[in-house]
Order: sequence, then structure tokens, then C-alpha cells
Amino acid sequence: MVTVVVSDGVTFTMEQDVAFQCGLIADFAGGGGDQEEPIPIQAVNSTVMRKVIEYCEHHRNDPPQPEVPEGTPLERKDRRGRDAWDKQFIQVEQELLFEIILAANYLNIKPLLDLGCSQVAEMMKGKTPAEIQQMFNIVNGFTADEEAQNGEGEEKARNLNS
Amino acid sequence: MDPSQDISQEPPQENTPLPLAVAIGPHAGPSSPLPLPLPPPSPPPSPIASSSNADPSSSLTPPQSNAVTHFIPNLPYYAPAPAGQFIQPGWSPETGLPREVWLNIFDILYRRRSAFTLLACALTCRYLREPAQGMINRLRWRTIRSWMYEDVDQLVEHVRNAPRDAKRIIRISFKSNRTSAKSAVALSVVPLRLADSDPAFILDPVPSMVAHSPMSLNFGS
Repeated sequence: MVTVVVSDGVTFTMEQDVAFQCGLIADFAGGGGDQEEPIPIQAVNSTVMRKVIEYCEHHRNDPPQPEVPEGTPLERKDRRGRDAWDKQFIQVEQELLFEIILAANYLNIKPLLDLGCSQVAEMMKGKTPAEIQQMFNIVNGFTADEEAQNGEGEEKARNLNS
Repeated sequence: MDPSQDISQEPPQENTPLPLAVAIGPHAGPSSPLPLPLPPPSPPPSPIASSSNADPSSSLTPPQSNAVTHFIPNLPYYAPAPAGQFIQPGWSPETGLPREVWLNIFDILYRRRSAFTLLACALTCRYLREPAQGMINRLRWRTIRSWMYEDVDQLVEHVRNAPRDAKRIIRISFKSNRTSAKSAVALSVVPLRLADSDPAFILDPVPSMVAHSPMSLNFGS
């Protein structure tokens, strides 16, 4: 068993095959034996950790995903690892979605990171630059000249979308 | 598969996402590991920690800094960007997501051939412009190449229905050297069929393609 303690002090105990899907925990535990001391995961809170563990438990028996070689057909490459359960799992509020992505990135869980990024990509589909700025609370920082260039670019975007 | 559709049509999502309240701003989220051996003058506070109800005095509170850092080597440290600077390696204060996460998102958009979304991202802010533009450039050639081995009739239809910008890209590809002999043959047919209806496809002969194409005598005007 592996025990972790997250940023808000909550302790989680899980089986190794669940915990070791997190690259960070696997690295820390050294790949063998029960971990006696709780592993501190300071950058993740308990709400997000519950979701992470839920994901890892669901995928505990998945075979390791091979690296997809360059040149693999796009459709096949994009379908990997995303089933109906995953789609349901990742249907969360945007705030939580981003926290899951950041946690997956921090904990080094590539399939979960891909799933979260895939959901963000899905959310951005069809959005204009202004809508994406609003969605991510982005200040663009463009200069006046760059804004003028962007005007031409937005024209292109409109053409692409028409 | 319909590349011309994929590259141009991306229906908006029905649900408008909520504005992002957490994990945004100059403070790193969970991707911002704890200060490592050379901490900056003022390391960013963790939004997770600040938003939680943790009691600092609680015995359950995990140990701070040193106890953790020694076993998390090789993790990037996302230092806060100085005021006025938009790009700092590995850190995106404008978007709240680290650069590698954005690259992952762009890679997914690339694989889906979502040219419009990538273009919108490139126009969103300075930080995203370069990586998004890079994916768009990759996408152009990948999309063109993916059409090469389809039936010529289908190819003609794809091109006929392509939006204006895609036609421009296709036209560039006709004139480039980045086509195989097989694709040059297929491509040489397309302008011939479309030139009547679309002046964009009236091309000058291109030596490299003339050499490949059995229809080169009829190619362009």
C-alpha cells in the first residue's frame, strides 16, 4: 500500500498498482515495497486527488500504452485510450478540469494529462481568439502593430470558418 | 474522412465554459513544484495551498520544502515571469498553464486537423502564437499529404469545396517541390478540373512537377 498526504492535509492510501500510475509516486517509492512514510503531494488538494485516484483505479488493469510512432494515422492515434468512461469522467467544471490537468502534469500521469488536454481542445473548438482569451483569462499583450496583423489573421480565421 | 471539412468546420460547443477562477495568473498551479535548490527571490505561493482550508499548525500538514525537494529531482521549476515579460521558458503567466501542457493541447488539435482552432490560439496572445503557428505549418503539409493517396475524384471534390485559405495552401503545394511523384500525378489533375471555375487554380508550370507528371503538357496555362 502507498499513502500520500496532500496539500490540505488529507491522507489517501491506495494499492501500489493504482499509485504507481503516477510517475512521481512510482519514482519516489522506487518501484518496490510498501511505503511506510506518507508521501507528501503538496501541489494537489484532496478534491483533485480524489479524481486522480478515481481515474487511476479505473485504469489500473490497462496495459501500458506503447508510444505511437511518428506517422501513425491521425484518426487511430487520436482515438487511443479515450473510452466512454473517460469522456464521462472528464465532464467537470472548467476550474476542476484545469486543476486535474495541472495535477496530471505534476504527478506525471500521461494518459490523464492527454485526456484533460483533449477536453480543453474540445472546449476551444470553434472559439474566436476573443472567446479563448475570455475562457483562459488571457491578457494578450500584443503591440499595436501586432494587433493590426492579427486583424488580417482574424480575417483568415473567418474565411476558414465560413 | 473529409479533410476539407475538418480543416474548416468546427462547430462551437454548446456549453460555454465558465471563466477560469483558479489555476490562472502568475501563480503556478500543481505544475509549479516546490522551490528547488536555487529558489527565486519571491517564489509564487501555491494557489492550491491558498485555496484550501489547511491548518498550518495541523499535524497532518505535510512537511515543507526540504523534505520534499530532495526526492523530486528533474522537475522544471516555473518561476514567476517578471513584469513586462511575456515569455519565460516553461512558464505561462498569461494562460495559467505550463508551456508543455499547451504544446500537448496543440498536438491534439494538430492530430484532429483543427486548423481554425489553432489559428485562433495563435491570435490569442503572444505566448501562444509561436507554438500554435508551428502546428499550423505542420498541419498544412500533413493535410495535403493525407489527400495524396485518395481517389482523384474525391481529391477534386475536397479541393473544390475547400475554403479560400485552404485553396491558397493547396495552390502553394502545387507549386512546391514537396510532393512525391505519385502525388504530383494526382495533384496535376486537380487544377485542370478546377481551373475553369476557380482562377486560383490556374497555375504556371512548375519544373519539378512537370518532370513527374504524365499530364504535364496540359498543366497550367
